[in-house]
Amino acid sequence: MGLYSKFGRKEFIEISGRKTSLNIAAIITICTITIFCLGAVINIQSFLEDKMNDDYVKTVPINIPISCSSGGSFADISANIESNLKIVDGKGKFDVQSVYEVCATNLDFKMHDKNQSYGARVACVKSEKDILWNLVAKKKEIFITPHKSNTLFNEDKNGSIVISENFAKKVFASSYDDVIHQNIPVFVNHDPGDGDQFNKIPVSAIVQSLPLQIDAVISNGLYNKLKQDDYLIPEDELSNFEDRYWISDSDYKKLEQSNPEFVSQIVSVSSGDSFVRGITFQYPGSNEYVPKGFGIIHYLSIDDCIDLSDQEISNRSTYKLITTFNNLDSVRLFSKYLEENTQMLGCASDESALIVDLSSIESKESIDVINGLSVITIVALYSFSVLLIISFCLSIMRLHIEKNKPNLGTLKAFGLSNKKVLQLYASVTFSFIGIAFLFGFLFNEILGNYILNGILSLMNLTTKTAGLEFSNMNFLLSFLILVCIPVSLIMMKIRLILKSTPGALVFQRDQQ
Amino acid sequence: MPEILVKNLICRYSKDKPKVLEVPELKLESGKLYFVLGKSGIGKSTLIETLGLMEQTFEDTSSLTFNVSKTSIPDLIRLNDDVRISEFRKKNFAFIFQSTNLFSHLTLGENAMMPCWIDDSIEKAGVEQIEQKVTDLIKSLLPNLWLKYEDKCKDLMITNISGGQKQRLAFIRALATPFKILFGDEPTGNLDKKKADDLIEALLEEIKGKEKKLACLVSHDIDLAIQHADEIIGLSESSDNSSQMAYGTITGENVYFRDNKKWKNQSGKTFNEESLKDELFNLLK
Repeated sequence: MGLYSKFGRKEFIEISGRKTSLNIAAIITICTITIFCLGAVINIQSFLEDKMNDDYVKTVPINIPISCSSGGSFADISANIESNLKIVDGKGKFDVQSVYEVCATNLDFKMHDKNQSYGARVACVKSEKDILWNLVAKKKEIFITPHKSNTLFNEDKNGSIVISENFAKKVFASSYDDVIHQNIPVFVNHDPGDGDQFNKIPVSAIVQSLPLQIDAVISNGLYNKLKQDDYLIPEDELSNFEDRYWISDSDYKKLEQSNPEFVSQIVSVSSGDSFVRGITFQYPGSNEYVPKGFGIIHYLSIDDCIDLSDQEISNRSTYKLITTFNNLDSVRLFSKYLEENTQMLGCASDESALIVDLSSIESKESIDVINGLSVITIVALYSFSVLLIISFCLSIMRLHIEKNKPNLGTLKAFGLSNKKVLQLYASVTFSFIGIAFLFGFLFNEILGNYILNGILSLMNLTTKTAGLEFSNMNFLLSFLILVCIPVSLIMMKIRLILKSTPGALVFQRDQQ
Repeated sequence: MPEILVKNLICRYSKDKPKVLEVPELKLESGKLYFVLGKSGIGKSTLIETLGLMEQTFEDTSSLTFNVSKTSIPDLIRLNDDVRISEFRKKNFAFIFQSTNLFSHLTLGENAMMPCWIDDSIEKAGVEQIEQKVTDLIKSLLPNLWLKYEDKCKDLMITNISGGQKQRLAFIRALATPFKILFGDEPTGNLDKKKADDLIEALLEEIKGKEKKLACLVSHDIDLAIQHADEIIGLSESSDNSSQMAYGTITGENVYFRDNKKWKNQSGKTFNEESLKDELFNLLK
């Protein structure tokens, strides 16, 4: 026992660099940096893989252009595509998980005290089981309802709307930060053209992004209510709002030309107040400037004065088909297939080809390249680190053994077998590298995440949904590669040295 | 039966290298102290290394027989059985080297106890006994250190003691080992006569005790050999007729044993101390 506990311990101290401990400090540094780099690369790789495996990303929208409808209804075309997908899928051509139809419409939104509205693509979802809703709900949400919960489907309470962060910033502008805390609603023009009806809808959540270039999601029930115009109910708490007409300078000028009658009506009501800054509205026939009782903001835009044709209204809607692929690699093939089979699928002509959104695929291909590079980096880093550890430890051990060859010969002369010497130096080398590995691992386990996020933030690479977790690193594999391989190789080298006889070692005689 | 029996031993460091030593016959017995004398490069160390199984220089493994071994050492050597050869060395041999070969990063006490660390079969009582023996040997062979530090001298680093003290410590390490055969390669080379005498006295006490042991020391010190040895083995130079290469050899005329107060060689020639001294002096020339 004394051999390992006493002699081995002394040998360990000697190999570690005795008083200065420089050798052990160097190997700890090598291990710590290596493990950190490996952890970071593996983390980023798995993060990218997770991102690309997300249903959100694997969802590929297929736009069916309006011109396509001349060859059949949207529903017919989508049914055709779906059945063709299944047939082809049955042959194993495309790895499609599901097909889903979504109809998105354009609606105008604004905030109650803003004079500009923004058109948004709004998708309707039927229930919480809806695939689109599942895609949305997976994302981290910023719930801004009082209960911090989703009220999208609370139709008895008039429901709510989920909007994308970008769109929210556009609508709320400088008030965006307040929205999150104050539960400010948006106003949607559910009846553009005649009369304009801006109705208030609570915002239940702002999500970082929405799929299919959608800006907002509402429930089917709410959409129907809006369209039937029976949704809005006066609410007391907003009764202090004044009804106002707001108009932008540019719209006012256009309006003056296109509908001077309407302008004169407003001007007469507003008693000459500036249109640009907003005027208080007095309902025709009333002498009072009192609010109507709830905060409808009547918005005037050029669209309000133009009767849109049915065709134009249709053009504002885009019909989409969502296909969720198990493997994005088959999407390009699928796109080509659609291109070649446009007419067969029900579209009238080749010009009105179905458009597959390939942005996900392009991202995936880019990420594949990065993934490939990261694999090369990992392998290169592992190899380099292993080589570095081996050469460093081997040179330390060799120097030590060369220096102590006569002593080693003495040990052998006194009866210590090669096997025991090997075991002794294996335990010393294992402890030497093992301690460095353990220290490096613990250091990175505790501080790695902070350091990684610090570096990422320095490089402006942080994302709100990044969620990089350092514990992701494969401990066992790293242990095998960084500890076991160097120890084994060093042992092989020591075994060669030990082939010398005790006499050759004691008298430092060349065996040959 | 002799402890070590050598017959027709021819030593070479490799097959393609010339013969360095030839021993037609040599018997080494327990309870005796042997001194090997000869001029530099004649093969004294080769003999010690060969007998101590530190170097496999012999062509015919059957030329070497150990009485202490229950197993056939030639067979182990032939099989290159490192574990069993090491086991045999551990149970039977102790060594003292001229360059001491002490571990510089161990203390005096740790160096002395090293053989105990190697032999993990020694039980706690045995270890305590060896520890006591080391203490006694330090007291007698390193009296100055003991007087200054007492038991704490065991904690001294090797780098803090003199060359002579190191030499004596190497002696203590060997004597503390539970050996049956001790080999020494010029173990008193760096010491004055008084200290060398003290060491050999301690060695004699060990080998001639209740348990008879054997010690074989290589030396250039004729006086020390004549004063303490039971037998003196002289190595003389011989040469090959074909290659004309010189090598060392042991002949009956050059092996001297003590006969009462006189010395005799194996041919029966009698020597007194002075004539033996002259004889050995000529051998070392």
